[in-house]
Amino acid sequence: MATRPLAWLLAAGAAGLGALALHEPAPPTTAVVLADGARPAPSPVLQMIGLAAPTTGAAAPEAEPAPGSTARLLDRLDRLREAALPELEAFCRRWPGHAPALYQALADRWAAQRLHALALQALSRAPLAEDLRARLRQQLLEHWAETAPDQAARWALSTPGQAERLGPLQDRWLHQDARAATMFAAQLPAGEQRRALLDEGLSRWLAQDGPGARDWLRAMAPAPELDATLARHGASDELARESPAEALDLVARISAPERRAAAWQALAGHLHDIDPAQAAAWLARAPGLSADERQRLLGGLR
Amino acid sequence: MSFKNRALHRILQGFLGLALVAAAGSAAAAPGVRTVPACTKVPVSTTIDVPAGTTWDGLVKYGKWVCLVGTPTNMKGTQSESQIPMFKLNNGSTVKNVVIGDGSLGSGTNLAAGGADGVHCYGQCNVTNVYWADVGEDGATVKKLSGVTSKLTISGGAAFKAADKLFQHNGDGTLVIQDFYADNIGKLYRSCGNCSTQYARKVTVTGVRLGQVNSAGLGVNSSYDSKSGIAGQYDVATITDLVYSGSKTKCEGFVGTGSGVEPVKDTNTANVARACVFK
Repeated sequence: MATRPLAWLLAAGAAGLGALALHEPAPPTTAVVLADGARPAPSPVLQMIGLAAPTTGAAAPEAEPAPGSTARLLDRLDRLREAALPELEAFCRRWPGHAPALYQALADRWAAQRLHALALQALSRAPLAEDLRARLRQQLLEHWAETAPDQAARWALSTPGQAERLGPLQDRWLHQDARAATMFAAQLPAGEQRRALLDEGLSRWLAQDGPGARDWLRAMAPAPELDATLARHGASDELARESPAEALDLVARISAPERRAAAWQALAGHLHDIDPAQAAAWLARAPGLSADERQRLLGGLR
Repeated sequence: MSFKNRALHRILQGFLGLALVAAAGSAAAAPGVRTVPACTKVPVSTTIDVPAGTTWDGLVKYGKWVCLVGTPTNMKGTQSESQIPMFKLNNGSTVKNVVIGDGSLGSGTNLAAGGADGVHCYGQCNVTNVYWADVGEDGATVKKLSGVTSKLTISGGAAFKAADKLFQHNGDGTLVIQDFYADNIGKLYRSCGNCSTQYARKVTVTGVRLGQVNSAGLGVNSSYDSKSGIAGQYDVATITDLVYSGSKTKCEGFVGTGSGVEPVKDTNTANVARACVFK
């Protein structure tokens, strides 16, 4: 009985030694550490691009990747696109100094291939400093807005959290195709954003192609969201000189009575400035303007 | 939370909601941030004279956006007083859909970017959807045409990099600025402080967004001294939907005077209040 504790101790010691003997050696410390802290087994791909070099023992600090590895990585990104992104991310985590140039190259190459949405997606998960990520994202959006503003605007509309980018994107689109950009704004869900973008779109479309934009306005039912545009353009000195009949017609379409009255007053002033002798004759042709209102307007001009 | 606290909370929420609605409403009429259109550079060697009652439309003339870049020394767009205008607008004329100056030279405000002395308006003129990529001596100037009350309407477009004033009002009458964006400018507007013939002028600002302003939003003569010839009169700026979040004064009052005298700021707050009308 007195030997039993000793026997237990010997048995426990033997089991411990056995366990140590059976334990697999710790995996080599690689420099590839994924976001969740896991250490993946070195793959032939990683070895090829120089990421899987430390396969024995503790990792030696590598100052630089193998020569040509960045070019090979970019080549794989061109061919495999998003499938190669994990390699790029791992590479940039290991050699952060190379990340700005690599992501700049990625943004330039994918933008040239019209892969803006994919490039933006890659940037959103890139191991980059926030200011660099924002700069590259801005570059991509500017390029996208120049080359395919309609796609860029639709991307902003359909991507959560990007709606505030619609304004700047529509600004570029309006320079290229004011009609299409305005049509896009007109189809947005009702709300302040639609009103603002529609107003901006109509303002630019009217300047670039007045007759076309006015045709569209005439085809629309009176709506409060069009009032600002109708008042600004219909009661403008420029339109009063160019086409007084159209100016009168647009002002008559303003839905809010107070705004319409102010626009009549402004337009009457312009017509009087242009030709005092003709102002009364023009106002007599104004749709929906009663004789009393016309007299009041003319009285205010004298 | 007690009933009293809850009621207070609701009231505060209500005020916050109203403030947000008011902010959204006040900003609604001003455009968003605008950029210069991508454009083809067109060298310009002399002022483009737009005949009375006609329209000069860049998109119609060239079929695309062009940047007009002045090439001679007197159109380089520096702050030299000898600069000649890019456009001379005669009574009843319009210029539209064009970029003035070369915006690609950098972010400074005295870059000799070919903006010349912008647009000169004689009488009643319209400047519609025009972009000053790099403002020269001034963006646009109202000049007096005998027998006509001046009226310059600037509608749409944007202006960038003005070392000093963007719109200079030397003639009489009214300058209207609507649906406009400006960034990195000295002043959006200045009523001439010491012209040889002075007038009580009007400026109407509606739906304008300002980015960086280096001096003030508007500069008006909120009073005129005896040397001006119109003592007792004053300018009026009517400002609606001006969106500007910087630290410079939106509307500044000066004492208008005569030629050869440097105008000073008007220290009479009542004068400034009557001249700067915010609606």
